[in-house]
Amino acid sequence: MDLQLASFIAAGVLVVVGLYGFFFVDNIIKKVIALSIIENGVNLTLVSMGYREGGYAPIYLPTLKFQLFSTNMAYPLPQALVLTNIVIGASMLAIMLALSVVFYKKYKTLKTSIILKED
Amino acid sequence: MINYGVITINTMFLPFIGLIMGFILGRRITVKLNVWFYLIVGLFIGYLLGALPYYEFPMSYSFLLSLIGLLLGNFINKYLK
Amino acid sequence: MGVLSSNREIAVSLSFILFGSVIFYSIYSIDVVEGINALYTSTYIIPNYVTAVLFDWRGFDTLGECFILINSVLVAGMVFGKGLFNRGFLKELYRDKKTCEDMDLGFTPIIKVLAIPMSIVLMLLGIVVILGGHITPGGGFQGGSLIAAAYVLAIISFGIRKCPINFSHKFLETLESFGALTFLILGLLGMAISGYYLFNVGEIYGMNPFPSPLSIAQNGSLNVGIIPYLNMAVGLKVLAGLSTITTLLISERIIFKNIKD
Repeated sequence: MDLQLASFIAAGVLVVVGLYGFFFVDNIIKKVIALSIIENGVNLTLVSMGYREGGYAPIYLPTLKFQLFSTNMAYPLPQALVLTNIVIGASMLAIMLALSVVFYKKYKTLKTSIILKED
Repeated sequence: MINYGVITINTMFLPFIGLIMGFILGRRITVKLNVWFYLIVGLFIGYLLGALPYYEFPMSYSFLLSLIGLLLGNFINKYLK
Repeated sequence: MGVLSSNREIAVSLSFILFGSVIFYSIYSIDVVEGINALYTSTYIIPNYVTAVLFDWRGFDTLGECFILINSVLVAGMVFGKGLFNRGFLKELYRDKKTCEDMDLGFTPIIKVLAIPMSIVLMLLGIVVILGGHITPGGGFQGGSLIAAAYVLAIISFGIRKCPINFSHKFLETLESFGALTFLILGLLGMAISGYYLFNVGEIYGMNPFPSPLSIAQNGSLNVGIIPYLNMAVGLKVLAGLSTITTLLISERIIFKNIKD
């Protein structure tokens, strides 16, 4: 099976599982975990966009020929974007965890149905 | 005859910056470290790690010099303060 | 479960099915063409092309990313201290570690013996990863995360009071400001020499800014330029930011005790 297509399908499954968890699970920490899963799906999509069959990793070592290397290299741009995305995801994770600590302090629970006073 | 690699300013500049960064981090470690243990383990890990590409060294000099800087910072932090 | 709640659930499931099918369709029929990537792949700057994209082609983007991390540290500090509650206990948390409650989680001697050599080796590996960012896979973000992981290992196994790696608040603050300011000032250096902000300066008055082996410069490129310095600045900044967030999140029991509500 095509590796790129398999990666895209796996990324779609990750995004859909994350969306399910974000909508239907009743705990704030689990919602945060679901958001992390969505972020991983997006990263997998970006990385597999730059995949090239039988290509080299984008690092030029002295044993390679430059012409052959530059035509067969995997694309470096999506990997750099994913690096950016991972750092931003870590920052968002820290902020969400800090806010959930404050929620627990105020309401003594993490269930959204109790916080929003739904019966 | 042991091959130490080509030692010039061009090749030793990056390991010396590692020594400075290791010194900064070693000033923050408050326990006393066993110097001989860390030197032997550092030689072993540096040999397994290997030098960076384009730097023709037998082992990772940047790892070794960072270790020396960290131990130096810890020594100053512990004894000469 | 009232009528309102079940209505909302139906609406949520409908939008969920719509959104999921759209995502599946767009992912399945995606089409990757070469396009602008040919520019990146045919130009040689430094051996690691990802770092070249990150710090040379898109240096301004990376600057914004650094400020996002600073912003997250500020928000975490604000949520835990100065914004909502009184600020006295933060001073106690960082300065007088003798008086605050010990956060030892009670690990066995196996972890306590192995944690210190492990975290020291992790720190040294982080330094090597930061410094070799322009040649090998790695760079400032990964190396800084490694050093912060060493700090997390030490602080979890020993507790915040008896932690052998003592990153004080002032030290972390200094590192963070130093990293961000170094990035900004190196950008100004490129502006003074060529007229473009964050330009990769190959030589300053005939001198190489970062002496490195001559075989790195190939195919008519300049030497590595200021990219290792940018890597170092980003590495120190990421190390300081992640360590600050860790210290705030792990001492939330102390913070809870001191909050008056």
